[in-house]
Amino acid sequence: MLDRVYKSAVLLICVLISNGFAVEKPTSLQKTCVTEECHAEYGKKAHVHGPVSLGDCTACHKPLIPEEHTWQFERKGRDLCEYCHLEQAAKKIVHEPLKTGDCMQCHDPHSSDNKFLIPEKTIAALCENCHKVTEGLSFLHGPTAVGECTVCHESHSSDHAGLLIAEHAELCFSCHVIMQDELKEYDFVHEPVKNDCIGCHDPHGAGNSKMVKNLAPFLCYTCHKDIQKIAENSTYQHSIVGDIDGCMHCHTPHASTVKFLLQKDAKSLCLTCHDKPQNLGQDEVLPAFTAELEGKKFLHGPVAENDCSGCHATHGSEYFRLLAKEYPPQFYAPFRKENYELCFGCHSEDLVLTKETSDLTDFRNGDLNLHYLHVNKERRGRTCRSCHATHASNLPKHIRESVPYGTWSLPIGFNKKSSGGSCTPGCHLPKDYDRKNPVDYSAWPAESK
Amino acid sequence: MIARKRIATCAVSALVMVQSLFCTTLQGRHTFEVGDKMPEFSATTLDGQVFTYKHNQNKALMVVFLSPKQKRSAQAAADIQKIVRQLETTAERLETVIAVDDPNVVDFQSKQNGPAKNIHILLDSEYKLWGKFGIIATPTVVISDTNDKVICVKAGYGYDFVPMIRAYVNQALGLAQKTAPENAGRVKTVSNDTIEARLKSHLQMAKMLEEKGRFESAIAEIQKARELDPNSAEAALELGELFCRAGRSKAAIDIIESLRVTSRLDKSRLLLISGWAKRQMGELDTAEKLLLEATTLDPKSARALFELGKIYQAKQQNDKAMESYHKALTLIFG
Repeated sequence: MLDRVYKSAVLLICVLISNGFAVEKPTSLQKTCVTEECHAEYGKKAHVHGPVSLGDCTACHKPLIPEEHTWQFERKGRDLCEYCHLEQAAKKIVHEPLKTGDCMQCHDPHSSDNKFLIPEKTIAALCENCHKVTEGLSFLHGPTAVGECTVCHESHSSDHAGLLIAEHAELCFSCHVIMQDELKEYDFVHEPVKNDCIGCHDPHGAGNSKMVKNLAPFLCYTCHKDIQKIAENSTYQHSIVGDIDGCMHCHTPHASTVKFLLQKDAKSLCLTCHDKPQNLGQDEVLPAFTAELEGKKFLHGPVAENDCSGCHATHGSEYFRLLAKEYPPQFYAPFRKENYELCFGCHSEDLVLTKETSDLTDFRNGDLNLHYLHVNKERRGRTCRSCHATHASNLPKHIRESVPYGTWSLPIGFNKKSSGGSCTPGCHLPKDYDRKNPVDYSAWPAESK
Repeated sequence: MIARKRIATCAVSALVMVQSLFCTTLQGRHTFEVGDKMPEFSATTLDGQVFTYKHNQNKALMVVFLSPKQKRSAQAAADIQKIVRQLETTAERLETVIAVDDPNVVDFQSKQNGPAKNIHILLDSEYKLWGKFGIIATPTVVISDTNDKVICVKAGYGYDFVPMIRAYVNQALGLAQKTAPENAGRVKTVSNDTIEARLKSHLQMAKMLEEKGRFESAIAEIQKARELDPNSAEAALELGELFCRAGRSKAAIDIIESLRVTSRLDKSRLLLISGWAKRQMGELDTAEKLLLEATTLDPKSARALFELGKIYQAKQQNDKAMESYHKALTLIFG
């Protein structure tokens, strides 16, 4: 109780003292309000509003009852400022404080120590009062880091969303000028790069140095849902795809001179890992791919063209060894077209559907198509792998020197000749074939025909 | 004379023998190598016309073997049409033949707005052309130049299909290009985090800040650029000008003191900065001399003329000042 009495007494004394020093409010119209006695501080800051510096307070204030020193604004809402500051709100998107006529949320109408009469030392500090865009970010975009929001944003109104000073990509390229120049030389440009940089990047900053909204593969999956489905649901998955930043091992995010936005040629990318044996788990080891090619003279087309994705689905597959389509893993298979979808991706299916041909293949005796003869059998059709090494061999047409048959390495003994060839395999008796002068097989035992 | 005739006859006979031997070998292999002549052929197009390719027509030829049943062939067809379209008028010197083994090629054409110029789609369902060229897989592209010499045989539809085919087509037509065709498949990617790119970004941002009158922030940006490449003349010159704009003449002099530039325009900018800074420091005579030198090297430097105007104004040489200001304004506004 005593404490309250004490506080009230102190307050009363303070009021009496301050009244004693206070200047009497004028009770008649004055030339200006900014004098040494009254409102002096308005004229003493580094930046003074035009009418204040001219002492023309009536530009904005209209005296109401001079005797009572009351006044009202000359105009209402944003009309007060727009009377002089024309067209600040003329564009499509208007900053909310301006829209509601609350210019004083960002500007001191009399004077300020800061440029543009803003009440904060920097533009960023001012914007941050409402827009907390940098909270918790470890890496800031250049303009954000230096507090220059108006490098990208208009403060009053704009024709572009987010009060940007230009359309998204155009704005980004105004600083990232090298990239824009470079892009013209590239055939393959990532779609967002053309007009939606903020599809991937946070323009204010992020928790990572590239300022991407999320790390790959999660960021990539926001658009590439088909790849996500393959990567996550395939029977055979490519482990690197799901790794953090895994996509970036093979792809470049902006533009490449080659398809699929690859970082390097496809084989080099694959050999980043497959130049050494890869542990597939459950005691299974995938041999080093390079070992298969070492010293080999004849390469399968896609290998020769450095295009592993010619046969392999790089993100995930329903077929073993991440093959793109069906391909029989065994030596014998009853012939069904569907079993060879992988090979038919490049080679004509007529190769094994046509019994006679004069042009389709060199592996024929006269016009008898020997591919058809070997593969197209109801029961024990030979699969492609029976005779061809998948990646490379030392024989023409990447024909195998031998093929594993149970525990035995079955030799093929292929010998190429000018108009045909011969085989001395473990499968049948040695045989020749000749495109020009067909070998007569009629005398051969039925088993060998 | 007779002896000469005999020698000539023998030479021709020998040549014919060698050629027949060579052709037999080729026929047996049903193939050819890069450097050989493109085989002459004749085949019917899908719209019933006969297309004939003969040597010595002074035209390049691209033969593309496709199989409409294959997805990759359809993509290759679209790419081929795009490449040919981009050639514009030069495409008239190129004949493109797409040989398909199935007449179901509607997709090839509907994906484009009508096939590009000089593209002929041939039906090769009996694999005659296929056999003649020794094709074993699709897509396969064979390109010959205007001398009918095969310069490219590319099988498959890999990641580098577009740049490689475009480069060989350009070579066939004798068009100048930056990269040799055999290197066209080398992968190049855009990277905006090289030092050069980052430096450029800082300089650009500094320019934007300068336009907004935020000199100190602009200076900070250029200093970041200089940290990336302390030897960048462009960054040093920008910084020097900014220091002058911000009234920091001593700092401007310090920056350019050790700077060595080679180009005429850079030399002019260097003199401008020196003159501008000296004018601010009140050394009017030195400043005048430097700025006159700057305008000699770059008569279009409006800033140098403006600064000269200020010097003449300070020296109360009003006519010269007016003349300088007028020249500066004319350069800016025309």
